[in-house]
Amino acid sequence: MEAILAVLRQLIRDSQAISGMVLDRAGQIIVWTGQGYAEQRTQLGALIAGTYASTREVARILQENSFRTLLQEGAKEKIFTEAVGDQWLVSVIFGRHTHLGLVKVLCSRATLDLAQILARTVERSKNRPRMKDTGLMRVANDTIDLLFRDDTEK
Amino acid sequence: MALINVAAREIHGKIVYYGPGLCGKTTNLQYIHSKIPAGAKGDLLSIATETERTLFFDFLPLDLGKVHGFTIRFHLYTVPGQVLYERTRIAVLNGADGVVFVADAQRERLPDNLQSLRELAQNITAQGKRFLDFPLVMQYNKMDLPNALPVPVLDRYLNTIRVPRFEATAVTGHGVFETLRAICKLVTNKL
Repeated sequence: MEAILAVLRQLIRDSQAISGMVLDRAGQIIVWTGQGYAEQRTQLGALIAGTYASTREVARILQENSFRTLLQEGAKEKIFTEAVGDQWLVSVIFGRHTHLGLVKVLCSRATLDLAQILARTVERSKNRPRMKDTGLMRVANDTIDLLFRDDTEK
Repeated sequence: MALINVAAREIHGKIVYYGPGLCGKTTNLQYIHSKIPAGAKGDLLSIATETERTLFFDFLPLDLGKVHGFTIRFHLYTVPGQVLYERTRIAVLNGADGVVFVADAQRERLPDNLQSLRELAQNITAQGKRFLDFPLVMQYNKMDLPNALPVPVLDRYLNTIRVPRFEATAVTGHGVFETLRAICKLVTNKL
């Protein structure tokens, strides 16, 4: 994760963006760097991944392979998102003083590095022990029973 | 596949509530959100039309806290049930680790349930996953209504693959947490 964070930090620093994240296509944030949105990052990740997935379906209707990038533009801030490999996304949040062209170029370079690092991480995780072999599953199930309950349940 | 961030010791699972329009998917999430302790949940995010029909999805992050040093999180989503939003459902279903199929138990909704279930199977298969092996839980909702079909009839038509199923009345909370626990366990057991 340190390697992913290093690439993302450099991207945010070089582009003078506000913040950025690497997330999977299901909307789960893998790493975040930069300022702001501490309470809403989870929602932001879900919304960006959802929007990206939605544009991919639009691409299919247009018989495009995919739209690799997504730009959301506001009066003060913009979000640029680009696909990383087949499973991940990188999103950069930047203000009016950052040039979109620069973000696009730097993002494009960063995605190559990120794709390699993430692919290696996935490969390594295939050798990890299964949850049920570590005893984690049993404790997780007990926690689910404890936490996900309703006082009105009999 | 659920994301397991070994370095950060985090496990995330994505669970999608799927089913025909007005079957009670959003009601499930609203009830869960109202009952889970504050420290274990985030805000419930709903992207809905002006008439409060789901347009894109509802989203509720749940946090089990630390388990054996791992932080375990589940992200609950609903899909928009209306037939015209098929492409949106595909987008929301992307990367799901488990699905709750919410069936509307009312007699006249059986064809809608069947159509939605068939579509779910197609969409899971299109993601390269085997539907029969995919973590799936079925909820028969609105069982309190007088026109609800009996469970054996619902089983015969909807649960031919014999996944865990629960009777529910989501609006009062009956069966909501049983369903949630079952799908969360199925997802963690796959990790």
